[in-house]
Amino acid sequence: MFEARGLKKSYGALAAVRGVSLSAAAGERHGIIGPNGAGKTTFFNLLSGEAAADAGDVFMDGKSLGRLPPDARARAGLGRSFQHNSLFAGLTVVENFAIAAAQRTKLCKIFWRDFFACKEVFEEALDHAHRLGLGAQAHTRAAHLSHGAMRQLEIGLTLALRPKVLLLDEPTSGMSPEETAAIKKLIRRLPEELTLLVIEHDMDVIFDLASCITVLDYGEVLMQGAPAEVRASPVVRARYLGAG
Amino acid sequence: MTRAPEARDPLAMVLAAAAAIAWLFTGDFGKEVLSEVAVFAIFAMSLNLLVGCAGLVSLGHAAFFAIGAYAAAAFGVFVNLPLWTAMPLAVAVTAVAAAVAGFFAVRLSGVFFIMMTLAIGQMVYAFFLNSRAFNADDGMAGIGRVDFSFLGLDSGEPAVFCAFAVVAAVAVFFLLRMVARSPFGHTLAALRQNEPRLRSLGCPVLRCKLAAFTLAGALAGFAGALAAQHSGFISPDLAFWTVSGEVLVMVIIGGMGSLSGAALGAALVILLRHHLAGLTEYWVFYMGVLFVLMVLFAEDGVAGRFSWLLRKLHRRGKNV
Repeated sequence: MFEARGLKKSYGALAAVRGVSLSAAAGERHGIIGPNGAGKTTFFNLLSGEAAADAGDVFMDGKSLGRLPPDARARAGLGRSFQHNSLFAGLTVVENFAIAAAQRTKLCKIFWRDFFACKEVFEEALDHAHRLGLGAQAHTRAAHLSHGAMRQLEIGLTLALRPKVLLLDEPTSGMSPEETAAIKKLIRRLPEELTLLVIEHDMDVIFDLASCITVLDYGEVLMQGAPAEVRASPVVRARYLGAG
Repeated sequence: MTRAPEARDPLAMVLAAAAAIAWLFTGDFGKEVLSEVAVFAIFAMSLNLLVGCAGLVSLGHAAFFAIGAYAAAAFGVFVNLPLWTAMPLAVAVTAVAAAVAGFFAVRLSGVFFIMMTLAIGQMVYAFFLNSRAFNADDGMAGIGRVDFSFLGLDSGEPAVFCAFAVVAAVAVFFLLRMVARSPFGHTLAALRQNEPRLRSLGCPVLRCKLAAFTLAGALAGFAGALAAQHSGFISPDLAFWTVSGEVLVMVIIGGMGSLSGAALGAALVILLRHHLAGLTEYWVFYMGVLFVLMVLFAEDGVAGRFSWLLRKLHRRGKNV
């Protein structure tokens, strides 16, 4: 069970998020939609601890994440991907995954072994690259990947954390239809017990994947419900989907 | 996984060979200079862990150099401990000091981190400058050297102390190379590239930075403890911010991120200082010109240019 209660955040006079609550059962696929500037990414930043909430709290399995910094939330099992790719650009795909795995397994504290000789993380990293369809580019530097492959790496890095709750911020942004299809397939193959919150602009993707949708508008919850209800709602149609 | 060819580090071998030749064929003055190079190589390599690996630019690293020097001297002079005991104690004291300073400094980044380390460095300078126990601005003289009489050697001899300093520098090189190549070292490098991402992967970034800061400080303290023995005299000037600036220049000229580069940077700056100072009163000016040229045309420093040259020669060799 993952829950956000009354999260608020203002930047000066701008109230970006004004009291958003949301709960997702284990294994739920929860979509978050809303027009540009609705506060979706800010909401994610409050969940992951990148930004400190002015009010409200986040709970994972009943435990408050309160004022924990992002790294502590990640260790508690909360993973996120970023809207704008945030990679280790100078490292290869495998090295990116190996660094991620080294954080999860606490190998990162070891200062006497040779990193490249740490088979446990590199085998996992290579395996992970293959499963994400990045096998052919495993030894390519992240900076030299295509946009689609960077997006896959972006999501893959977060998965290397083996999170219980996964926050995906616009996973298919800027992707071609084929790349979008690959990401959809990737998301569908995620472990069933994983709770997924996904911000997405591609309505086909979201209505296809999500079992529950939250519509944000001006930093507030406009509506929460099953995809069919949201699609049918006159308010949402007027505000967002474009009446037609 | 395979390493890039430069990871075999031919530059380090060149430097080791040059040090051996200098030790064999120079007189006492040459050996004094070589000792100084070895001490500053340790100092610069320790700073490289912060600047080159973790991307933390410190302008207060001399504080730990001075604390190491004063601690080694104080344990010798006040408590009458032999330097074999005083030196490790000095390193421990410096590590504690670096951990305390780092606790505040690593919370900041960018220019604020630089300003914080600068302030910490100047606080240490002001402390030694005003502390009666440490003779204030007179400094402390008459500091002995480690005792090698159990080997039948006299460390007062430049050749003996110089060999000791060079061996110490080589040991620090291997220690820091091990750290740089470890999962911890690669985590530091990832931190330099993308701190928010590393944090979101669960890395306790503050603790990582603090560990690096403490280790770098402790090794700077070790360099300081050697410097105190080498000159037999210490003063608050060791902690002054220009010393921190000078060791930063060594790291940048040598090539940020390259351990052997940092050692080479130390050698270049010290040798140029000795030679240029004899030739012209404007030696600082010429050093400045060199630094400007390096930063403009060779961001990766002499070490970077060296491996570029090697790669080029290697390719040409293949084509022939």
